[in-house]
Amino acid sequence: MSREPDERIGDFVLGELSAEERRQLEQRIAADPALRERVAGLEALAGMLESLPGEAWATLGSAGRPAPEEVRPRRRRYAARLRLGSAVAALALALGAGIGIGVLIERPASPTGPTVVLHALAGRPSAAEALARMTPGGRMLLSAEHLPATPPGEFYELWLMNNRRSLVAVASFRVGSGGRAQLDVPLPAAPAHYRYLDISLQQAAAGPAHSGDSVLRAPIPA
Amino acid sequence: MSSLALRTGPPSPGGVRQAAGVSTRPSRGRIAERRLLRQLARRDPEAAGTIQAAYGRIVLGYLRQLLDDAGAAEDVMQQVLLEAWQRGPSFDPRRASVLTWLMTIARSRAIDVLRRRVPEPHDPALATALLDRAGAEEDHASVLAERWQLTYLLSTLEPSRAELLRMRFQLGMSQSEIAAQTGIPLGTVKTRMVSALEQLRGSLEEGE
Repeated sequence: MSREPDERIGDFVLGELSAEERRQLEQRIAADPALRERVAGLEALAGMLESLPGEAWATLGSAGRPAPEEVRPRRRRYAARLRLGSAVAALALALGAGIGIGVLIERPASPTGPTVVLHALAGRPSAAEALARMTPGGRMLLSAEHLPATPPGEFYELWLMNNRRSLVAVASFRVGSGGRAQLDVPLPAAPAHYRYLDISLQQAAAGPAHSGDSVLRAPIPA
Repeated sequence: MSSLALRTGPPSPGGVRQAAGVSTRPSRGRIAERRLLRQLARRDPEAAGTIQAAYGRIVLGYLRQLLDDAGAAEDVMQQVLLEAWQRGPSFDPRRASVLTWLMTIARSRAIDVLRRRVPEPHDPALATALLDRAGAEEDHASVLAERWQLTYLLSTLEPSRAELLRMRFQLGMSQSEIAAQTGIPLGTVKTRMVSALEQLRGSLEEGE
């Protein structure tokens, strides 16, 4: 069986042969099962390519490759901006289990960031973990599992943190007996400014500062 | 469903899949996938970030198109990442590629969302109609998943080859028009066009 030139196969699949050339090639295809299979596969592929939506083509050049690294802004300290009043904490506590609220302190221009998994700190329930993802829209989605149910008078707080003095509260939430929390909150600052994502257990009556009682934590990759 | 449906069959021994007429050297995407497999197997905290970086745009693009709701798509994306992270150690790369696995999770979670959008009908006659509609939605979800997996594979092609395909299939240009616009000889355009198609077809058949 003579091998058909690739270009002619391509022309056939793309509908760029003359009627006579097409008829001749169809005869060869009919007599050659391997060629028939090859052409059928390419035609099916061409059909799929023709049906791709514009947004799919628009992702070419970026999908499968890491997004360009964000220009890291100057590091700034946000400790002075931490103003989580007792009213906000009370409001957070009033919300149902697993419902988070964002504490908007400052909206960054482009707070995109990484996806990180938060692990239990030593001495904490080892099964507890959370996955946090920063979206281009300046929000953070967090899914936590196996967290201990929030005791009365306490709540969990999610922080962007460098250390105990340089940190900003992101959201307060409570967890029911299922141990799960699902948050979708606006980011008050660019994650790139901070080294850690931290979840602490807070006393409602103890004020807005970090309790020092961290439950889950993850480093934020540069 | 096209006759070239994405396969989830096992890759060749050693994990190196070879597309027709393509070098046996593992592609950049293949190397990245191997690294991700190691991360998933040991529940490396970086696995979720690696998935997001490598496949996030594709999975999210699929979810946005399927759900037609950016917020819902982001929520489902979060579920996909969490589920992938949790199920990572049990993922078997001999059964499916990472992308096929992720798209399967995304499809399932997205269908959950679509079903929740339709309230349970009181009228049994409506229930039948809704069942038909649900079936159609699932088929639609599968077709879209295939298209977005194909988009990912396009992105792993050499950029000049992917651009050639874009000019032909998105812009609808003939090979002669492409040759005229790019200055590449027509014969070379034809050779590269069919080569790109063959490479893509090989990747599809291997479920890459």
